[in-house]
Amino acid sequence: MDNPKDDPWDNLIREASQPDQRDMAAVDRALLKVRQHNRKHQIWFRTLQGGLATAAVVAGLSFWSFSHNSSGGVVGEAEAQLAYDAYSDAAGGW
Amino acid sequence: MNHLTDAELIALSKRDEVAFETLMRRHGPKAAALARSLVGESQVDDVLQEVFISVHRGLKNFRGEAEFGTWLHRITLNACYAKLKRVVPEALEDYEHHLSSDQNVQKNAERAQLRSLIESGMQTLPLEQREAFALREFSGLEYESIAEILRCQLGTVKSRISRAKASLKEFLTSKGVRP
Repeated sequence: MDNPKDDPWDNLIREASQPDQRDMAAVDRALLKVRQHNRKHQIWFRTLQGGLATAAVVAGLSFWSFSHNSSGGVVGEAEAQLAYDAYSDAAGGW
Repeated sequence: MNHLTDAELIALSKRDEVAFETLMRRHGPKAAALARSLVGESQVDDVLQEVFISVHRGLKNFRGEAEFGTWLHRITLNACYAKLKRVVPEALEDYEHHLSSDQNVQKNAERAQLRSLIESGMQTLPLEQREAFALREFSGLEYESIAEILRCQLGTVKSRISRAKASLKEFLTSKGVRP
């Protein structure tokens, strides 16, 4: 009994303290939770990516639309100039 | 993947879910046993899930300065502390309830009964003795690792474990257990 390793209580406690089925089952449940957590994280990340992509497309379209309208104005002015020139030519011809 | 070392699994776990699960199946049961012994049956799932998610997040920063098992049990202990602050520990009667359930459903009823009794007896110990004893018997850590985790002297760890064992022997004897 001098050597603690020979103490039957120690052996008894050590044997009973080994992981059992409940511990394995708890590990399985925790791993399932981690998988769910990762899926949620992936979904959130993809949603964020999708949102950013949509925002980029919307911004691009807005910019294009703005540019298009501005250039439309220029075209309109050019057309007016042409009409004026044509009118002037006609007037001159008149 | 079972043939891989911890270090190899840790390196793979940062990208590979199967490697992470292999690693946690290797070390997780002892962490579960530690958690169960400290917070009780009803809280063990919550604690373990928090621990696994923390490990999953923290692995990318794990540099391997400590052994993975030691690191895992440190995280488990912290999660148990957090839980113990929020929840009143289970009453002894709850353990007796688990005890009778175990007897009905588990194959190895005698061993399960003894473990439930040990867990029950641990609830009567001061926290400092309980955690040192749990890290030794349930996590299977060396005294040096326990001292590192608890940030105390080696002699203090040995003394706490010794006192815990003495109290537990007394408790188990009072319940009719004989070695």
